[in-house]
Amino acid sequence: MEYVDNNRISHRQLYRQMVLAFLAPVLLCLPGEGRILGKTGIAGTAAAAVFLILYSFFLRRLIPWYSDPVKMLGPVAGRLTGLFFLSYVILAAAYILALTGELVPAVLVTGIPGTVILFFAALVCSFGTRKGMQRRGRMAEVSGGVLLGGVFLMMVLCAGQVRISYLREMTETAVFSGDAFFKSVYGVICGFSGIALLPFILRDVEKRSTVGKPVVMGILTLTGLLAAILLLLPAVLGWNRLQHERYPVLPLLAGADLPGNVLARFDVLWMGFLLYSLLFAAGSLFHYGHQILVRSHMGTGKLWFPTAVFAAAVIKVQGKGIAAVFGQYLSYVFVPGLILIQGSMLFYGKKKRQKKAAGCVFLVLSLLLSGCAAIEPEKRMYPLALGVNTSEAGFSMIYGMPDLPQATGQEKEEKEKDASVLSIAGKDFSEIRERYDRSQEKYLDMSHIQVILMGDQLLESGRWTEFLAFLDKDPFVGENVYVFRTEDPSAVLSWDSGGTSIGEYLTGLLENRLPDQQKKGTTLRQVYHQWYKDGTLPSLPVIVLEKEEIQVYLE
Amino acid sequence: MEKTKISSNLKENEVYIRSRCENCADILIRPMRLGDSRKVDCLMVYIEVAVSNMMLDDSAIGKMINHFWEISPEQIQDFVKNNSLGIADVRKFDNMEDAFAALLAGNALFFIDGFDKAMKISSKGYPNMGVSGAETEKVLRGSREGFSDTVKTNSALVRKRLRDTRMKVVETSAGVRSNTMIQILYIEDLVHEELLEEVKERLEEFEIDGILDSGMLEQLTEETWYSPFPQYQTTERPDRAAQELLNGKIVVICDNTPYALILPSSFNGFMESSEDWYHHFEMASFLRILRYLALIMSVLLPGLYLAVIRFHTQILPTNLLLSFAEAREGVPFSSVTELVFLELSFELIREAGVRIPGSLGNAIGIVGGLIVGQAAVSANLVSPIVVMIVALTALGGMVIPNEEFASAFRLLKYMFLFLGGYFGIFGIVLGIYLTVAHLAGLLSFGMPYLLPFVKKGPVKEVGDGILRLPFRKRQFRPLYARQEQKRRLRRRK
Repeated sequence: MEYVDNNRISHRQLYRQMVLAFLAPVLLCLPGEGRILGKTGIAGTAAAAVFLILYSFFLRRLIPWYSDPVKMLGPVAGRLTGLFFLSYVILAAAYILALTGELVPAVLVTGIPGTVILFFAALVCSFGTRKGMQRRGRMAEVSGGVLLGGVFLMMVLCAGQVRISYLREMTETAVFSGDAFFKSVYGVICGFSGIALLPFILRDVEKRSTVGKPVVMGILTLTGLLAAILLLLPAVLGWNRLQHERYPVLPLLAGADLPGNVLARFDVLWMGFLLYSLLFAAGSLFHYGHQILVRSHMGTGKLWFPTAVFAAAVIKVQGKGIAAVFGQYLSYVFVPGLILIQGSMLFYGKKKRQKKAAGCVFLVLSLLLSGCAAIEPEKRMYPLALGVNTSEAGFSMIYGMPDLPQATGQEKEEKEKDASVLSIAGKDFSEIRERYDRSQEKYLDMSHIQVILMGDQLLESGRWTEFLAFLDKDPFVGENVYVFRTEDPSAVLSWDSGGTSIGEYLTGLLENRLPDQQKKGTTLRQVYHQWYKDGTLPSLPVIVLEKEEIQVYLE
Repeated sequence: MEKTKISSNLKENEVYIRSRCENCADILIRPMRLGDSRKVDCLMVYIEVAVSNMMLDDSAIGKMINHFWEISPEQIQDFVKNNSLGIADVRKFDNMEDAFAALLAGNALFFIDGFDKAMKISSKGYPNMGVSGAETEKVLRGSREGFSDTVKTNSALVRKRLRDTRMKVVETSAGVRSNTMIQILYIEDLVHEELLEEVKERLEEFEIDGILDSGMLEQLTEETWYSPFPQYQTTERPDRAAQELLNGKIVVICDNTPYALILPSSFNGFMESSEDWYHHFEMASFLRILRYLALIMSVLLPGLYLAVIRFHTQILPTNLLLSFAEAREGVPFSSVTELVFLELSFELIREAGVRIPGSLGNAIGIVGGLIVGQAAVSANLVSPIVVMIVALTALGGMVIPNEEFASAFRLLKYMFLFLGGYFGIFGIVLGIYLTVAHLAGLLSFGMPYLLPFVKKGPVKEVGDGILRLPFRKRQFRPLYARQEQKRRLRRRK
């Protein structure tokens, strides 16, 4: 029968495996602070794409060498080659897991230790990776299309946030230099270094004579996406900000709105897509690790291989983990070593060719112990408006809380009313946060802030930069929040807005108009942009409280 | 094992039969003398309820015995040898083991002195419920007939729909004590021979004391025994079985089971209902999309709810989030406990509804759903939104056409619930990855479970994905059928 006679995968499965395995690592790790950005980045990506396509043709010639390196190169050289690739697979898998362990607690689920995240990710990724190429092919085929579609959709939705003026900044200020260009090309090639493992998979692809087409398509899709992201990032976040963001792809959708307002924010979904791709990449590396071990006659590594990956992801030497050294390993060890080994293969190769219970308890315990970070919705405080000003102590933060029973119409009996305005002062924002944690029963959830009111004193003192630096570190504050200035934020937040919160009131005041009458407020993203650009603030709408009535003066 | 030959001496046969049937009150052994001068010794052996009254003229046995009273002994032997009475289902055995197998299958055995063979004469057989409606696969359009408990009736119901001798019915038996009859149905020129051989091998692979239902057979022969996903598709609709035979699949019918097993099975096959074939393609496609959405809802909704309210509150519109928070105010349990508690309560209600007979079962549903839910909300044990989540999840599960397939997702729901509750979206993504990895590795008789979403070559115009193509566009059979017979529809010139 067609499906039982071999262990081959189709071209479509190969293409989707490539896309799934490279998508998140490439999008997350290549663009960003001190890496590939701007015009040189786009040009470098295009040049690297050409190189990678040519390299893929060369790789097809090496399939026999990868099939059985021991047979082709002899027991010592064959095993050394196996070890070279194995070290790459272990370190790359460790790097991806470490990245997952770093990003997930920072932007998705706060409170769970990165090591726990890393452990579960390693466990799941190693599941079934020794069971044949077809399984991975099917996984990729069934989920690759959905993921690719999702990423495209997200990018289309993100396009709504594009500002031509931001893009112009890049074209005007970014300098195109030969040195930066070659660094970009080499950076992209290093990012796609996993492609060197392609001969391991090509052996198991049907219709090998035409296998170049899906490989080329895969490279073009991935480099095309990377180039599109390199274009979108400055157009959405601004060129100057981009140079200070370590993973700029993450906040890309923080300010995007979904048509119909079905969801307030959907950057969680974007991160979900990237996370799935990261897991698939790690799973693929586990799979290849097993393949390398078997083909180099070094056993199966059933237990020690995942353990080694986990250990490499966790261990830190002098405070430096795999994330800090992997880039250097790629640049100075793996890629040069690869050129050497593959070159010698080509030179050498003309003549010779072709080739459970205890664990469950532990898992359940880990699951339960790691989950204490979750906080129920009724045990959170949701400030909808945030006021900030300088005070005698240093700063004061004023949180405008909603009146829950009034806001939701679900009045429960014998319930104490929440305070609608909470003011906390401290010498800096960390101290204010500590004071909040010491004095308040509920967890402060800043993810639903709708407006930020900056006091005149704060703006005049120039200490607003400290406030912005504090906000920038909090990934949960949306970047579509409106920012205002006012003389006394506390008075505005205490103003009786007639049943709705001041956050909703001010948002409504700007948005609830016919399209041609809509008022243009200033969003947090615009504030960040201007701040990163020249260290100043854009003009902010002013709120004036006159005779117990709010007036908003736009520019 | 050596078989016991039937003797031409009736006395010897009678002694053997009586010794084997000692203390079997339901097996009647009736010696009789027939022939015009009552000189021919005969013996009739049968199971009391399974064989109709021998004296009745309208039964084959009755007619035969009445006739034997009127003819000479020589003629009786001649009649028996040549089946001159023209009884439809008659067979001769030369050994006791085969004869007893026929007896225990509900037939009568007739022995005659001087004749070294036993004659099996079919009668009404064991009591059964007859053909009734399909209870678990109800459709708005399509046949109302469902399979019965009798294997022969079931194969006849399929034959009624496929009147072609290329549809083969191979009989075998399983269970050394139950001797359960099993029939393998397939269309000779459509089925892959390797598949047929593998099915036969797997059926012969084990030795068990008894097979009482096709479920036992299924669990014994499936490859990945630890998977919660069924690797055989079951149906109680003969039209569905016939349709799958036309797709090149194999149907296995087991005695005493009103369900047929269809193999190989696939994820998408479980999401199909037989009426998908009878509706217009727009409606059929819409219903399939709806079912897939329901499936996602049934497995992910509780986990996503927990992930969002416990970790990713920013995803919800503010007013909705505030409603959730206010609704949970005063609930003494964590949202995970609350949801698990309510999900388990629903499982109890569901189980009680199935076990309690008829109309009482419906009452349990109303009592459970409305009264218990309402009371739990009033007592602040659970929040109203959780009742809604559980109800929507349950509705989603009920939309899945195949109960066993839906059960797999019922179990998975708990995995996602805990993963979402304790790890947020990260947990949900982990769960999806695990599920996809498991499904990608699952095979049903060598065929990928995820067909037709994973396919090797370009497969055109099969039209059995999530969307159903118009009938006239569905010109080819799915990959299960032999490729030389792949065309199912062509226009007559």
